[in-house]
Amino acid sequence: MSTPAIKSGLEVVREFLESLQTNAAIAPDVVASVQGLQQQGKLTKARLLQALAEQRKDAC
Amino acid sequence: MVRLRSLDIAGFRGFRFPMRMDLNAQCRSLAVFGENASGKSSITDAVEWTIFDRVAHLWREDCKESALRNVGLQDSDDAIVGIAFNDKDLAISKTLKADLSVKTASKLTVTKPYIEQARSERLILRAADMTAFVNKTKTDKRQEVASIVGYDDVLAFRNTIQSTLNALRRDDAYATAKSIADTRLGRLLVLSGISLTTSEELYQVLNELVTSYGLGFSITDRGGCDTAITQLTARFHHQERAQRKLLLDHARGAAEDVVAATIKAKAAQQAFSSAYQGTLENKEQVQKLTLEDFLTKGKFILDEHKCEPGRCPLCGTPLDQNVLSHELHARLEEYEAVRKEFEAVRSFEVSYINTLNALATACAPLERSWAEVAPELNSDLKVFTATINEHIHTVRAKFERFESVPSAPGFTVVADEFQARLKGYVLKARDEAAALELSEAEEQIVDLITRITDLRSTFEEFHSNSLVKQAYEAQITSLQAIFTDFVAVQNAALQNVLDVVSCNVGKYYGILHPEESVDNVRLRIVGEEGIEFEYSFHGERTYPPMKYLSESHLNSLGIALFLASVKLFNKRSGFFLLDDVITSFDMGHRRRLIRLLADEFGDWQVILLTHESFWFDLIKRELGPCGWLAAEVYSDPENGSQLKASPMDLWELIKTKRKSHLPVANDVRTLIERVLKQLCERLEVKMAFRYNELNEQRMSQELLCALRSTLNSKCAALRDNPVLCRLESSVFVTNVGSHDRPDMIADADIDVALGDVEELQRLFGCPNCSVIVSARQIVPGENKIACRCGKTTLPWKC
Repeated sequence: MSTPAIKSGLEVVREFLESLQTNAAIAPDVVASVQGLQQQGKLTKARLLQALAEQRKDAC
Repeated sequence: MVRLRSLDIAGFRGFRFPMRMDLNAQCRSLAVFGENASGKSSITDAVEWTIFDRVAHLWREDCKESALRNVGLQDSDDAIVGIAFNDKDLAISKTLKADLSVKTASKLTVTKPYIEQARSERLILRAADMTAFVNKTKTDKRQEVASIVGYDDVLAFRNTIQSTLNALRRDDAYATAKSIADTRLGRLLVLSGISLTTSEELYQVLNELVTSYGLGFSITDRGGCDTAITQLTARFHHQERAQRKLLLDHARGAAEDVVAATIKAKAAQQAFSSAYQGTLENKEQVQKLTLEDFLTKGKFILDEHKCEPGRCPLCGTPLDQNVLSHELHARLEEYEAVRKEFEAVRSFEVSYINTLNALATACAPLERSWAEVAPELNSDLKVFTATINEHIHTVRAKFERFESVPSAPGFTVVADEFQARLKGYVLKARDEAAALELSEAEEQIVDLITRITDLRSTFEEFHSNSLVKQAYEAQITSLQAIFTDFVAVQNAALQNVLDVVSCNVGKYYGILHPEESVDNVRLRIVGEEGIEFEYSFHGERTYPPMKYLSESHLNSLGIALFLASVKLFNKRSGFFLLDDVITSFDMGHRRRLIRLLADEFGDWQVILLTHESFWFDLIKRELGPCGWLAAEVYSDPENGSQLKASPMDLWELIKTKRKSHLPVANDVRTLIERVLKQLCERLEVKMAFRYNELNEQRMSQELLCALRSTLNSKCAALRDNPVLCRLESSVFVTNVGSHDRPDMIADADIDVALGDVEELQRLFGCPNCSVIVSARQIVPGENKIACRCGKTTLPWKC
């Protein structure tokens, strides 16, 4: 019953977010918000919008 | 891996009385035969309900717990399903009471993690679900594959990023900031003659403006700007009049801004109204867009055959579903065109709302600048601002409902009145300013200060709104990049999974259909949102499966995908159920499926249910030597579904039923038959040859007669034994009344018959090993036969 190793959905997302940290084309604070919420299992549209709004408030 | 040890069912679905399916200590695979409606699927239902808390095919039809209780149950009876596994701690028992409350007995800390895992595994394949996946659309296949492989998290992540991105793009604050920044940039161009976007450029322009006044310093910041204004103000000869002139000019500028913004808003309103008028005239068509989702769902239901054939899925009226499906397709195409037109109108609505927001923003400085010049304007301004905000709300709400946006006495009237009043104030301010009689030099300084103030405030508005706009755009750009990159990652990851699954799908399909025109079956991503089976047909790569494959080939594809998924994704469960999955297979393909199970799933526990007796016999012959068990279920109106049981189980059933005062005459008759068949088999009683089922259908009378004949010739001790004579004359053997009128049989007759059966069993049974003596178990050197343990013997002419 040996099964080939495949990544789980969560692994795919986690590895992708880690790869974004070295992507200069993407704002680090946006990545941090997405990653933080994803790690807490709380990534929803409403929460992400709220986090981004707070970032904009700080930026302006 | 977790395997099934036994399954106990009572009062559940077809099983009215307790049934135990023992898969023995080795947790063997099992083939179950039963005619249609014999209760096979009740076994599958029991496993599904215990693990998943629902039975999908019933829940889909909104038949829930009430459909699980056997119809013959009294309110005081419970429906019970118990599953024991090879790991004893995982044992779970669920009870469904008459009030449909469910009670679960298990070691929760142990069972909970397993059940959670098992729910993500592929445990059950039913005939009805077999081709469901194959027949799905590309998009639905993708959704289902994502779910099967546990990529719901991937889809959820992608959807969250996409919806957040869309929300940011549509954010009012972003649209307003963008609009104000653009307007102010235009004004800066008018005021300075250059495209002025940085503070350095602003200060350069300001320094050029003040250079002829020899201030003795350069403006490099806001403070410098204030100092310059202070120094310039100090040069007025008529301080009071000059200050008043500045105030009036400033107020006039603010009012002119509001007038300009009002004109812009009215122009946008005009554009929106004229586009929206078309929508309102075509209201019935546009309103149909609200049906788009409903019709799409309806078409899906028809195309996926998720409703009763030949009837409307909504009202149940008989109709041709193909015609209905085509009609829905045509309507959805028509709606697509309407929707595109409507989206164009929506862009006018968005633009109008943006100009209204810009107008509201322009009103803010008005209150400050007119406070000293004309404080009475303040109350009008408040009404105007409130009207703008209310109007924004009204436009949005009416537009969502496709209702006409009222033009009077609403916003337009208030806007016109306020605009007229502002124009009046502007004229008044201009007249008053003209009457102040400043010198030419003073006029120039006032103009300069007004220009500096104007440039500075316009730049500050431009700058602050640009910051908001840039903050949004940086986030939008980042989220767009995240989304684009993730789609690529998601597709690569999914294709990787598909490649791994495809390996086995292709292999299993090839085993089921060797040397046929279809091979190299694999799943691949099609387009942006789809997944499809691809295969070689006569050497040509093609899809979808329905294009060339027959029904049985499609079924094979369904089985191959299920089995491949089992191998890949079942991390803890080492068992799975195949419920009547070979209906459309011919004999050759059935045999190949048996070989596939034996060769590729020899270390898995398979519960295979079928209504095809010939295939069942084949399974017993081919898989029996591999350790498979076989069982049969049957159903009768009196007892419901039952496992074809040993006489011991029948004794238990009769005891249970008698406790509940239920008729048992037929069960006693069956018991006598089973006991006699068992004795005839063990004692090798000679009987006339019969073919197949006819051999099984021998009646008690014939069995008794043959048994007596054998005993008379082989066992002098039991020659013409009285119990055989009593049974021969028993109403259960001689009379068909026990079949047709079981209620006519008295309790006393039953007691007598059961006593006789018990006595008959005692004659041949061993009290030590409980096994009947066998003609094949000859005691060496003696004319005797023995039981399994050898402690009970019977004189026998060998």
